[in-house]
Amino acid sequence: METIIQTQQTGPTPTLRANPFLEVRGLCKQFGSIQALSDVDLDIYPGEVLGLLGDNGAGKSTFIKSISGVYIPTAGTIRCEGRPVSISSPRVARSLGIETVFQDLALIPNLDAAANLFIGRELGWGFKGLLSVMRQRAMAEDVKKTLERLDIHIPSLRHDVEGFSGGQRQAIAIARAIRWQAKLVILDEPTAALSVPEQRKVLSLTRQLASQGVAVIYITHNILDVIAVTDRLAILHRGRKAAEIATKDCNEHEIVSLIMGKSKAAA
Amino acid sequence: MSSRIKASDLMGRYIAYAALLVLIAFFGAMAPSLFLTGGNFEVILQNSAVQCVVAIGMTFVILIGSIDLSVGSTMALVGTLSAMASVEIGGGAFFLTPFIGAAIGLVNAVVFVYGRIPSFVVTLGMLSVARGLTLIISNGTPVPIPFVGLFSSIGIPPIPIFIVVGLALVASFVLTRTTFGRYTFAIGGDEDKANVLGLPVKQVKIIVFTLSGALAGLGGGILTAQIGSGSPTMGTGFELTAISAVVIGGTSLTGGRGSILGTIVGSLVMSTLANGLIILDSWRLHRCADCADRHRAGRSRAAVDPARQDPHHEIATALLETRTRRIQHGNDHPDPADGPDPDT
Repeated sequence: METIIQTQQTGPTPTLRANPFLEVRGLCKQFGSIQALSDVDLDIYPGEVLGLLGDNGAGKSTFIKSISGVYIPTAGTIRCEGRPVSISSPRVARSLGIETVFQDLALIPNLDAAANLFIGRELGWGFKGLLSVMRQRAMAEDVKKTLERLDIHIPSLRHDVEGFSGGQRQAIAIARAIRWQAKLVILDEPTAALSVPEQRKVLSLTRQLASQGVAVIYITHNILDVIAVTDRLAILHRGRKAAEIATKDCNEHEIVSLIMGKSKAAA
Repeated sequence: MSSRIKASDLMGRYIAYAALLVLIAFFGAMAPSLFLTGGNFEVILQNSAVQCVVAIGMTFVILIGSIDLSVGSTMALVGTLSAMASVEIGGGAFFLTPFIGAAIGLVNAVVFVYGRIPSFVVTLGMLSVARGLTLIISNGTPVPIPFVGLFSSIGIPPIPIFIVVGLALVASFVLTRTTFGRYTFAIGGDEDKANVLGLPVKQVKIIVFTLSGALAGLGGGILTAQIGSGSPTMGTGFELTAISAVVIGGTSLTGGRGSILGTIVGSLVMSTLANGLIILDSWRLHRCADCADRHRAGRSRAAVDPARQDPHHEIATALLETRTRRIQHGNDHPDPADGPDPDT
């Protein structure tokens, strides 16, 4: 068994640490005989970027899918703003203010930017649900404003996102999370397939989110991103939390060795 | 990059419109006096009405990336059932057809969605089941509907055409303006992502298959009204006709792209082609008979000169004789030019 290194928890600032947005306790997820997550405790604070790190298969994706309603955890409790919640579907997660920007972005390729920003939450007249008549002009206006506010430029709102570049798609996916006034935004490897200027854009969007008091979980393999954008790190190793540490308290070598499952001191 | 995608898109989306114009121009040029008439266009619309109704339902099914092979059998089962019901409850039985069809579609939908069986397999099964049931309840013979009355008057032009126009407008509105339509496209675009986004994927699928069944039932009802009986063999192979109309109309077989207008145009392309070819054939016979008239004048010379008795002349003469005989028997339009040949 691995030794779990419980590094001393030093949050960003005491004021922000007062009330966590999400408190995860003893989260477990099992797929058949495979224990993908065991006993993960994690607090997520508003206005803070939490870096979630770990090698491939460490359980990062399983963790975020468990708190965004895609997977149902096998065991464990989640408290959202102090109240115990059961996040049984993506819809429930969203109603709690948890927005996820998945690695594959979850954009529908054959729909345009506006349709993707509003998918599942279209503005409409008349009946609720499937028979609602969409207010397409209102949605297009809204999307235009959202993108302007975030300083995101895309060729045309009427084009299908299929034809967009990686950075443009990423921007649309992040804009979607922001548009719905998320309280927690989960970014899964948001810079993985982007050019350098696009990466900078995503990093600045991330900081912008945190400065507006939004909690952010930032998953990445890129150590430079970690140093640049995160306030605090949670490192997973083989489904367990191996370390939780303030970013300013460690250097990149220490982070890498923690990801590899060694202790901070070993670096 | 995106402009290239758009170019191929446009190609796929609008080729049916171009094909329809080309066909009308071609047949119009070949046989203007028969093809380019109001009556003939009404015939084309009337002939494609049932196909349009069924293909509108099929468009939704194909847009979510599925297929419904049971529509032809559904038409026969609903046609036969409604014809039998019309004996009991009168012409109002016609209005049952979309509901019976919807029930069949709902069975497809439930097995497809909750049984997690591919739609191809589920509806292929329903194709056999519905056809078999039809043969059992009808004993294999057509069930006539009253010759006059509400039911049979539905089949009289232009009522089927009005039904198609109304349905197409409603379906187009639903597809482009409601959340149901948007989710239909979303499921066809990427079903997994639609699930992750929390869209009501199952409900949409169930509604789509029920709708396809309902429209197949309505199509079966209209066809029954048009031919005057619910025949157990009607609609055989109609699923392929409907799928062809949808695909010719620019809807992608993998789902996510397409339109109702495209489907209507695709359907019109098929019925215009069939109509035009038939007209060309009768036009050729017409012309052949004319040329036989001219040949008849030279026939006495041909008798003297055996080299002139070419096969074409023979056929033309034979045709002319048939025509002459028919006209004489009918005793109408006595035409001196069609009188008995002095040589025979």
